[in-house]
Amino acid sequence: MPHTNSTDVLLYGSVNEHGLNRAFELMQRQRPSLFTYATHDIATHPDKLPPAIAARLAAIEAANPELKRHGYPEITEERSLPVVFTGGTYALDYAVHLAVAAIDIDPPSVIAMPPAVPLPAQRMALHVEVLGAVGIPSPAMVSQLPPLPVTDKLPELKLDLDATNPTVIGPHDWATFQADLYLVGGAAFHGDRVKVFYDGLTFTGVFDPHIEALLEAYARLVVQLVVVPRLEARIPTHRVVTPGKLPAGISLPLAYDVALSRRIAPITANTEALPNPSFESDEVRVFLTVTQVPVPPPANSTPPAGTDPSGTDDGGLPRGGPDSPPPGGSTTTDVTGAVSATLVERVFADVVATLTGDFPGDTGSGVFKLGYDAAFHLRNDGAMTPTVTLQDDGTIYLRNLHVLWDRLRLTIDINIPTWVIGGDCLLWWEGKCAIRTPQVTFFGANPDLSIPLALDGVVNSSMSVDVGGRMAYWRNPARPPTESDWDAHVNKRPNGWRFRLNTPHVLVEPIDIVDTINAAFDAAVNVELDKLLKGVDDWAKDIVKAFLGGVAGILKTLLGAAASFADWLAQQLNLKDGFLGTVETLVAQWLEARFTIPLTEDPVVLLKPDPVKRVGPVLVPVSAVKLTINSSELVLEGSLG
Amino acid sequence: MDKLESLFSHIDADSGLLSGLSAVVHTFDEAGSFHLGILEHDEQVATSLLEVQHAEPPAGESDAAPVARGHHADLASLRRPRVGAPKRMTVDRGAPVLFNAASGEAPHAVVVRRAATSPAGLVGQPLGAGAADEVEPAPGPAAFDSRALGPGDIFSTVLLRPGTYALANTLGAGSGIVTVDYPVITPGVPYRPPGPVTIECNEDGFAPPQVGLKPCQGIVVHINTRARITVTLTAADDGPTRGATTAS
Repeated sequence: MPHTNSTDVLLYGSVNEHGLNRAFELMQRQRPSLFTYATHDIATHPDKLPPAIAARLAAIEAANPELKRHGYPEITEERSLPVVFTGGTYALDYAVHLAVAAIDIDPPSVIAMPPAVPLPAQRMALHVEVLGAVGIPSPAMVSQLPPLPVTDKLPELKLDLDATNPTVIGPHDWATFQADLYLVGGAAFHGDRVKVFYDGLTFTGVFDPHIEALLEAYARLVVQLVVVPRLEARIPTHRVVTPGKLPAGISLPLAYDVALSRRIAPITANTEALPNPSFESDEVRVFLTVTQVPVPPPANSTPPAGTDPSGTDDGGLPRGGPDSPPPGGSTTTDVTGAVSATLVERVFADVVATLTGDFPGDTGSGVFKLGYDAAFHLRNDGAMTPTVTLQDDGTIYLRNLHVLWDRLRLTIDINIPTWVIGGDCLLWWEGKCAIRTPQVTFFGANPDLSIPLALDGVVNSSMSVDVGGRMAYWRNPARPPTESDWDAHVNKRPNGWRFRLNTPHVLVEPIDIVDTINAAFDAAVNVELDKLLKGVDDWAKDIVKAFLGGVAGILKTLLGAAASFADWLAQQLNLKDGFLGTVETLVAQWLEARFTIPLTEDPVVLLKPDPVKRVGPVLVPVSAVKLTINSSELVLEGSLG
Repeated sequence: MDKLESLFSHIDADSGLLSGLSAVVHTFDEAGSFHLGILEHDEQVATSLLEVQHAEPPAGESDAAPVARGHHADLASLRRPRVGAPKRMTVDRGAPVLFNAASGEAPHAVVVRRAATSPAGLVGQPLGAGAADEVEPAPGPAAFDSRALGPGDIFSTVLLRPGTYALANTLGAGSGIVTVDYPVITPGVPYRPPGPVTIECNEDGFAPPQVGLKPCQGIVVHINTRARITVTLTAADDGPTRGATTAS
């Protein structure tokens, strides 16, 4: 069943619970400070951690030795826990470690949910293990503290979290607790933004049920008042993308707004509207629509409100270089992206309308050598409309690509036949020439003439392209083999995944040359011949031209059986093993080389490094990336972790 | 196109002043060592050693006549031999030797005399740069002088400039007229000149005395008397659109 349709779901993306769990596992391993909190003395002296939490961090360090090597912090420092009624004078140490045990998406398959919070349809569940400890001072330590002033009235009851420099009573022992937090929620596109909600939250563990109920009520308020609004604000509803970096000489001023679909049209015969995002079949699914928008201003100016201005970014990955065998890893499909055939057609039409090229070069060798300086655009009118078709055989077929050459300057090199004066036999001896008169030879160079020829508006060419695509892996040659993924990312030399065209099959239709080119070519040859004979008297030029048979003689030698230069040029250009074949090969090679599109570095950056907090990136390896094409859509799949 | 410019700068022809496409042919009937002097404006500017050897008959044909293998001597090249090349040449007795000055700007003449001392032991051996200078010419008449051709010699040239030329034997009484047609450009048909016209230079003049040549057609003069052949442009033909002009 296709993931997209031809109306308002033009893009599709999904990630399954296996991929999310793997991503959270890697996040806990690479950024433990997001999951571990402690007071100053404990955070700066990890040897003082409560044993249970110290064991958890030791396991993380064992799984990721890079943490220690880089000196990244594993604990986020928090304020100490005030002792109430002391007016902020005294506080206690504590430590908390959260472990995302699992994520489960409808239907339930990963987490054994407690009866209080079942996982309903179109929802996802989160199970977090909470491991905490509060430092308990000994009575002897407390007795040595300076006494607090005794007043008639008790100090105000407050947590005094804003107290400055309280006296933290060090732990004599740890009061450790462990609980499991289960949270069920979802999201829905509502109005012009994504609304996040949750259906339930519960604690299970060592707490007394009454205390758990109290905590749950408190936590629900925190989630509803604090967490949900922040999540909603952070989820973008649309994003402007541009073509990114393009080959030199190619101009393509296009931009698109990729947005969550406001209304999901039925993908199948089922007319029931579908939620977006959708939590089903163990996946989170997002359905998007795409609209062409004006090209945004340069990146350093202020983007339109409400948009994510980052656009497409190939992360600096190069387009050149050979492919490499992809790394090993999971082969299950965790993430899926799909592009509808309709979107491919729309973008192709936009590309045809806006694409222009401007490039010099040369090709050919031997007797016929052709240099060119060209600029082109694609014809797109009522009589000639380029089309693109995704085919069920896994290929993309481009038809009616009619190239209009805004500038096509050729240089045709001509080799004039060698001309000899003299060499007559003076004496014959028994049927053989014993001695000949002196002789001189001319036009022995190759080529003798280089004829510049402007074919702007004279030559048109049509071509069709049949091409498939694939995902290819690229290993950065600048990266030392022993360099870690973290170092490679920081040093800007990561490996990556890129989209590549399979060697395209290009068919160029026979090229027509208009007859008016004949006179232009005759004149050009005459001019070049006169340049060649510069400094020679007119009578001598006439001798040379008589020997050559005039310009017509040169052309006859060049053209062979062709009736005219136009015919000859058309013949030459249309030879399958000549120019035409060369163009087809060049176009195929050009497409293959130029349309290598860097997609993402590997591992993918889930969280960027933060130099201020001195934390490294969170990287998630991507493996088993593959691209499939059918008549409905183009599908990209990959595995996380 | 310097080569073309150089070629078309040679208008007149003189057997005593060889240049361009002009050449003389002489056959040496006696074997031996000869002193070859190269002259520019009647002044000797270089010498070389000419060895005339008995020609070997073909293998297994001891009674057969020697093969008439012609030789070519470019005076300009002999005057300025390549570094390391011997300043000598060897030809077969009875074989025609063609002298010209194809690669030189200034016209040259050549005078060949018997060597005063035969450089025995040097034949077949490479000579140093100064070896030919050690050979002195013997007194007496020259064996060959391009300024004074004799019976059996040949003068050939190709007159490139269209027009009318005066033909003369400056050492005899002969004179004549040579006309060279203006080229006709036939579109698509490359022009190829016919073979050379041959005339005789006799004691009483040229036979025939008037010759018509097609463009770039050669003329060959067989010498039957003492002669120095000159061909001098008297009226240039600048073609049907530009008309004829009288040469100064």
